[in-house]
Amino acid sequence: MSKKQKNDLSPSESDFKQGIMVEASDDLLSFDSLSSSLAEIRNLTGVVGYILRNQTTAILDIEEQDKVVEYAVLSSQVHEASVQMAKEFSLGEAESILVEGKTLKLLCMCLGENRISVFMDKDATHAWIIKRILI
Amino acid sequence: MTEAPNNTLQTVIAEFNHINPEASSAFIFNRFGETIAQNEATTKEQTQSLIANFDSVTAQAQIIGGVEEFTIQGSQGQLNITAINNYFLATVSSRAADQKRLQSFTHVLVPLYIKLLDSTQKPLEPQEEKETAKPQAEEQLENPTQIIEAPPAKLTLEPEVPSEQFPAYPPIKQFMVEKIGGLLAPSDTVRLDAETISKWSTLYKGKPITQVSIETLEGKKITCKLKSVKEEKANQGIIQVPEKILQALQTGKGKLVMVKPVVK
Repeated sequence: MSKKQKNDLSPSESDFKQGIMVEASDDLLSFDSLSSSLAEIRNLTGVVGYILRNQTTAILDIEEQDKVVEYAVLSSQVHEASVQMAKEFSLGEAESILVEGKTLKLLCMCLGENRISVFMDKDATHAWIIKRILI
Repeated sequence: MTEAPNNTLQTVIAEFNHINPEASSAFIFNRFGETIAQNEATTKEQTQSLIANFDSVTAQAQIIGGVEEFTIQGSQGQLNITAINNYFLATVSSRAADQKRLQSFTHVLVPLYIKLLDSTQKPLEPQEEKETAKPQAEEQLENPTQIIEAPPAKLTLEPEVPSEQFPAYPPIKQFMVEKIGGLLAPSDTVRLDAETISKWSTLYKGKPITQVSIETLEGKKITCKLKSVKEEKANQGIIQVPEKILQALQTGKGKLVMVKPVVK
């Protein structure tokens, strides 16, 4: 995809709230592919870390090294809780979950067997990150 | 289902499906996990399950500063939980739901009701009353730049006035900002027309209205001193605000603000 096309597809913040999602192709959802996408996302201003995991492997890149466990526990809890909530309220498969705190926000996504959690500053544009992961 | 404001909140929540036909569930619970109000489409099992799961998230969320908003975008629907003071509003709707309408319900209407109910409850709670009594008058006015974040409010409410009591909640009126300056204009005092002040005073059984709370549509809020405008035929829709308060509110001439009287 050319740079121009990427720019054309840059989503606005309201895309997430309006439920506009992008379908991802299977080859882009492999662990390695997601890993390289997230490594790029990690360098963006406002992104403080990410966790990528599947059943056998996990990558954690968190700014505050001493708090990695707390980030990981929250990430895991959000994924588990959202699965239960989605089931209870017949939401279908949870495509993305956004948890906004006073200081940071957490974007979680389930792509195949891979679970992604991106931690970012509250004013960071999470909708862009969703598209960056999926395109 | 326990507290006094339940009836009001229950009515608001019951209207959820009328406002948002694409929505299904809506309910409010407090930080103790008690359901305060819910619409007909929501079952007790659903509320309990959601509260339990949400609680498990909030218990781990100190690292991001607690949970103010929680959103799940599912393939068939979306769930949103919004923190409002000590309450949480949960809504479930289809992906086709009108997001603007949904947002106006979750971020304007319900927060406004909860804020109003909370403000009327405060006198009944001694501990909170103690806390709110401290920063009044001079302390607040010496430092008018103390801003309190609040959800945007766009409604003008004129309360029903019980015959022998103060209004259940303070009247809120919208004004257009006009800047005042000069040596004789105190930097901590705004001016309104005498008729509005007189009406408010009547509502409060003749109590003098010396302070007002001003809130911008962006949610910036401040409490400051109030005086009536000097001109005899003052425009009723205008509030005269000094530069210092304008800066604190991050607003300016011609902008709209919500104003309500503060009665001690």
